Amino acid sequence: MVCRRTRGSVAGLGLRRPWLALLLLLSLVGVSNASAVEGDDLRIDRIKAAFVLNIARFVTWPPQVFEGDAGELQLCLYRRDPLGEGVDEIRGKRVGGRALQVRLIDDLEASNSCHILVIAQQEYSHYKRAQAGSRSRPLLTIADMTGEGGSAGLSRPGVLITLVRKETRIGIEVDLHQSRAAGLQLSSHLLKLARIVGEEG
Amino acid sequence: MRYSGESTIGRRLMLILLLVSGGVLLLSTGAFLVNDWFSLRSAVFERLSAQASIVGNSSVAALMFDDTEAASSTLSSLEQEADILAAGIFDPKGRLFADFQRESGALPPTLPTTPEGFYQGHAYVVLPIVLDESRFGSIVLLSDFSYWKKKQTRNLMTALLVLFSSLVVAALLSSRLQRLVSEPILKLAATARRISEKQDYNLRAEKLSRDEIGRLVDDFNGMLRQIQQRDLELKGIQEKLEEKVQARTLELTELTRKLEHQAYHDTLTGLPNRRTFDDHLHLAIEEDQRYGGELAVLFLDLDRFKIINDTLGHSVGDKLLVQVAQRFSHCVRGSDTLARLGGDEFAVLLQRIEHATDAADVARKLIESISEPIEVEGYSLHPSTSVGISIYPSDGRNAETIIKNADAAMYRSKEQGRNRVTFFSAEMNERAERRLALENRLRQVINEGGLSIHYQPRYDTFTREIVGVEALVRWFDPQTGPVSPVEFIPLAEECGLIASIDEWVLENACREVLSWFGGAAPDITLAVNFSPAQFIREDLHKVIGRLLQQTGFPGSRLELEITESLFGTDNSNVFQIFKQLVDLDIQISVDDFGTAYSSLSRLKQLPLHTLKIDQSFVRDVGNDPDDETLVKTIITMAHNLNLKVVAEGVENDTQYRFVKENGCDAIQGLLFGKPMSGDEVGALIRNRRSVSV
Repeated sequence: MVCRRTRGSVAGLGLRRPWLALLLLLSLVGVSNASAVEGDDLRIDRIKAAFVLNIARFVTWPPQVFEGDAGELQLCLYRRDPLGEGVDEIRGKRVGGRALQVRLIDDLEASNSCHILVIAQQEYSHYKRAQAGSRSRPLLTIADMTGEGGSAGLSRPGVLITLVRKETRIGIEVDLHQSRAAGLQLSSHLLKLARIVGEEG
Repeated sequence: MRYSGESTIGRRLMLILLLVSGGVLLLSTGAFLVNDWFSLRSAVFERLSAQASIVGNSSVAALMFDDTEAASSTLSSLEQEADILAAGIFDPKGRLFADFQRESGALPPTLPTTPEGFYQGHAYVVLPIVLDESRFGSIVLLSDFSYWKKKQTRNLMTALLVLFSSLVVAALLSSRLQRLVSEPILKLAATARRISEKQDYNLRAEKLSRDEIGRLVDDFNGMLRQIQQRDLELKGIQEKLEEKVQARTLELTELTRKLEHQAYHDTLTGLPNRRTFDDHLHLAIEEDQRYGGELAVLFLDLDRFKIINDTLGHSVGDKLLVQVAQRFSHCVRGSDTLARLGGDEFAVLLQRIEHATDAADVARKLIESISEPIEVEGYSLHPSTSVGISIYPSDGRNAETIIKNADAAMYRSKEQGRNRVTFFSAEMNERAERRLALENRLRQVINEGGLSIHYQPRYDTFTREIVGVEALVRWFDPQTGPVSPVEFIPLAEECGLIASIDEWVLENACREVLSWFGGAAPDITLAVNFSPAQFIREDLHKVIGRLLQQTGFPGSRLELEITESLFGTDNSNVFQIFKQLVDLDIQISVDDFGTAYSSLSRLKQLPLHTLKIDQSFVRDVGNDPDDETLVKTIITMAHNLNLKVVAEGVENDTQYRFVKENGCDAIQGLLFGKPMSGDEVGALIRNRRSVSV
């Protein structure tokens, strides 16, 4: 399945300064096709995609989630693709021995088979409404709030991890309370780097 | 003497022990140090790896999310580790991502290619940072190695200290232990040296151990025992040798004395010998020449001694000589010299005599001294001596002449019938010369066959038939005419020529008699005179047997005439020889019977055939009644002894009738026929029927 690339508002962030860090991130996610520097939008997409992939690596799902499947890790995009071409970079990568599959879903009903759900900033309010009242289940929900107006340090219902702007870099916020309720284990390595939000303990 | 101080064995042993223990210690110390070094090194690297692994693990997320601060803060936790000099995290492209350095420049600017090693003298390790099988970078940890080196140096110092103290202990121990081996050897050597210095084989080596050296000591002591034993044996032998040398020296001294005595004395009689006599005579003559005075030399020769010697044997002759010498020695003064010149010859030197009669007195005393019979081996012997005297200076001016003249005077005594004394006179020399000439001519004539044989017929007394012939040797000298047998036969006996004469006569008579009978066996007896001297020869029967064989003359027709003197002796040898002759069928007759001493028992014992009555008895028949009685007795006795009797020298009818009346078997004499040549006898034989008185 090929997602159509849509340019998000992120492209207009004008991130130019952390040139070196970006390059390094690019190499970290194993981007082989360095088909030249096409612009900041593209780089940010790639970094976000790499963040999503690396976060998945520090997450442990309950074992029953994978019962009877074909050894794939399903990454679902909620109604919109916030990663752009970054999706191509991470599709097929292996996480914990499972190949990463990416697909777009239109509503939460279709997310039952998903392991990871990425929610773009524009679709957050839609998601917020859609998930309201639904009980917790082991789905790693990552909200991309790196766009303008994305506030940091907030606990968002239905969102376990939030990517935020942290000056020139991208920061990670983890809602520990919700992740525990969801039955997912997050590695201490990730926690050491992330900001903890929401209710404690 | 501290022998251990000189001992190279001890030193060598100690050196060996030290070298071995030192070598082992050095090796083990070295091995320890090397092992220590490697284990320390690997411990350092292990520790570094462990730390790198922990820090790397802690930094993986920071690396993944590009969080340099978090990575640096993780690295700074290494500050607590004193030995960690620097640490760095590199991204997969080899670029430094985060670092921690105590001193700037400690960290290598680029990622080292080897997983571990040394950089600027400091140990480092490189570990990859991996998560979920993906590599996100590498961590480098650098340790200050001088810290480890100090630790290593401390270990080295400790090891060297242990090594040194071990060597000291080894030296002390080995200096004691080497004695276990060297001391027994050195003691043995010391004992050996003591023995060789003192030559004392009583010493023994002490056995200190039961090992090979102990056995060596045992063997050494065994050798000492053997040497000691040989020493003793040698001493014994030496003593014996010395005793022997002493004994031999004594013997030699004795022998020298004896030889000296022998040189000047006669071994048989102990009297001075010819040499001493000559010396004394020379000295005496020199003295008399200086001071004037006279001396006499007496020359003595035992009469018929040769017969005694020949018939009774030399041992009897020697014993007789000894006794005669003893008797002679009683007749001379101490100042006189009695010497045995050899054989049966004696001489006396009388010094400073007043008159010639003094010498005559001594000579008579000498003759009388042996007039009494001398007993030798059971024989009663009646020796006599003929003496010749010469006086210095009247009979000669020097010793040689005096002795020669005394000898000549002695021969004169013999010629005059023996047992008497004769003074030298000048004419004696002529006789002596003639005698010598005669001897020479006799030798010549025997060699040239110049003798001839005459035969005197023997007749049967009763039939008057010729029954035999007696062969008589004749010597006709072309220059001096006939020489009487009475003169030359004794000479031949003295000169040892008689055997060849006898054999010559026997052989030629046999041939001639056979020729009378034309080679046929003769029917008459051939009588041949044989000297008594011949009966010493043990091979006589072989000689005669051979002659008979050569000539073909029958032994039964041969008669050997032997003078009576032979029978006076008890000589078993003579009996043996007679027996051998009789075995050849030869007849033996006794010639000149009645003139000497014959024991009747001897006549009976010996295998005799005929007695021939000496013509001196027959000659006096008709004049001397005693001789008539004697003749009659002899005939009777002979017949009683189963012997034939022949009367010799029958010259007239009276004599013939007497012997015939008395039963004499055969007769010889001028009455029937004088000795004649072979041809004449041959003719006589051929015409014997016509022979008549």
